[in-house]
Amino acid sequence: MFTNIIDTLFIYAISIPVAGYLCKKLFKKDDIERIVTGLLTLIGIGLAFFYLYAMYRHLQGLPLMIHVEHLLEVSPPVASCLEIDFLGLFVAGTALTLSLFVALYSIQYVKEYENPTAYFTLLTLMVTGIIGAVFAGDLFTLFVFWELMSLSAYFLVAFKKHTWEAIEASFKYLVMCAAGNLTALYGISLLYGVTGTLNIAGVIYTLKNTALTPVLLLALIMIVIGFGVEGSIVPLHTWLPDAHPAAPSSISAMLSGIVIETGGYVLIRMLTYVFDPTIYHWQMIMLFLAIITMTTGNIMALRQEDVKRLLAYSSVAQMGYIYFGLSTLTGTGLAGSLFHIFNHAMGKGLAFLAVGILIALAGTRNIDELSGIGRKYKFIGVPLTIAILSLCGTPPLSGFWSELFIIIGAVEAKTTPFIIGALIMLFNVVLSIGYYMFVVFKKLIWNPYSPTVEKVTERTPVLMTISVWALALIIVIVGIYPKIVLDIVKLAVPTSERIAEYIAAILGSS
Amino acid sequence: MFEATHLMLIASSILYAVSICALITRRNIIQVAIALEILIDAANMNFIAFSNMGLLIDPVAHAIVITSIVIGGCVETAILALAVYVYKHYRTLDVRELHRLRW
Repeated sequence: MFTNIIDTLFIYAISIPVAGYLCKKLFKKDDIERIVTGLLTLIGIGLAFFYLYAMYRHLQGLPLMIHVEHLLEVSPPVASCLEIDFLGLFVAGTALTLSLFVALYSIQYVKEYENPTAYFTLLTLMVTGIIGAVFAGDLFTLFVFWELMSLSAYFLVAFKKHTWEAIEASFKYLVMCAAGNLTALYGISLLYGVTGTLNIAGVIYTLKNTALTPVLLLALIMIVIGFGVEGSIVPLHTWLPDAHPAAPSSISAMLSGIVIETGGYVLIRMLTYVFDPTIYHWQMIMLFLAIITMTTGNIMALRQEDVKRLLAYSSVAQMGYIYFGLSTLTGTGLAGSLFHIFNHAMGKGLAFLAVGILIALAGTRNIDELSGIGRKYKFIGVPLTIAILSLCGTPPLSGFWSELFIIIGAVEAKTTPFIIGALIMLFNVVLSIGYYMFVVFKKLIWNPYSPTVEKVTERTPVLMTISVWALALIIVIVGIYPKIVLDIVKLAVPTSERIAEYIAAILGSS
Repeated sequence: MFEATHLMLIASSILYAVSICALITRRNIIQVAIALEILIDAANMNFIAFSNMGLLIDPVAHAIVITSIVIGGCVETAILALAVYVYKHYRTLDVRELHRLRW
């Protein structure tokens, strides 16, 4: 019904609790429940990935390269549907790649948690929500899947429910994001009132011939604020540095790697497709927000003592780069933004996963107490170094290309504000090199062992190490041959022809 | 002059304003939960109001509102479940006490 990809994930999300319950009743050992549910999650996400590849081949054969899946058999303008184009496919592919390794990592990581079944069910549901949100063809389907993703994320942040930190972080996250999502719903209802339809293609088609009215402007503001809470635009980012460290490390990787990127994706989709920049003139506002976002994120990251909190603030900064690429509206800048979604997912996901292993071994998150641990456990220190180098844009690694593209895109825009913006972004990249190299790398890897680290004698867990190395390998390969990803990005960049094709694919058939 | 639709739109915008004010000023978690519930109702009311703008009543909006009510229920469940744990850890439902995480 919802295409093979989402159906598979739904079926697994339903069957994991059943399997977990049966294992709990039949076998007395907790390990079996954890391994069975973990493997089911892994298989589900793997199958979904396979179907995504099939969809990729299918899309290449279609004339407009857009696949439409109707959920109701009524005339298109009112119907809710899924529309899969390369923009959605690219973000979904990124999400599934990261979540595949997160699931593999989690099988060993959740050993000390009491309820692995709930963990894996929520993880699968969160992935389903992300995939549904990026494939949604009408605004309400988008909202439903968005809420599915957010709800699973609230509970996953509160997963360590016996600690006050997780509960407080989750509460903040819930109140801010729920208010944001409902504000977005209010904005969507205003769009519905103006256009009379919720189908994105229908909305674009109607808005093309409508002049700017206060109601539409209000709808734009509400949608940007609403989705911007999850996408961590700066005045709305305050939940992020609390929620990401409080969650289990594997979930921090998912939240930082792909959930906030989904916010970025929705903003890219809304701002380029629905709200035409030649009518609404949102470019300068997005530029301003992007610059504030990246600068605040980087400056706040400099003064953190908690390593996960530092990485969380760095995510805010990286979202700023993505919004900056969006605000330039040049082909290169948008391609850089999209490519940065992939690179940030891999790089930050890897950083959180690697740091998660080190934290689990040492039992602390304080940077000074973790001093030298990356050198003691070289198998984790090396991938962590690769992630850090990629995130701060070192030439042979993948992060370099996207940051370069965004800066080139800003220069191509050829107006003074964007050139100043490009300089500010360069300054920010240098700042980020400062804290990555002189805080994370120097303290975690270079410095002598701290007393806490001296005492750690446990061996590194195998599955967790494998997933970390696999992500590191992806970063290196994409860095050396960026063409693999850029070929898809080229097809995904929203241009005016692509928007016309998008409308034609859905409305043209009737 | 004022039709039912306009009255409903005015009411929904008032509900929206009330709930945002409540989210900012109220200190009890249960009051915050009720504020979120009002926010959902504001959006739902907007959909219903817009559904009879044309000649016919649009059934899509009604389907949407029913789904949206269910989602609202889920959000309420989440916040109430968290309220239980907040009470266990902090022995109070006052949100001002939840400030141990800073910077």
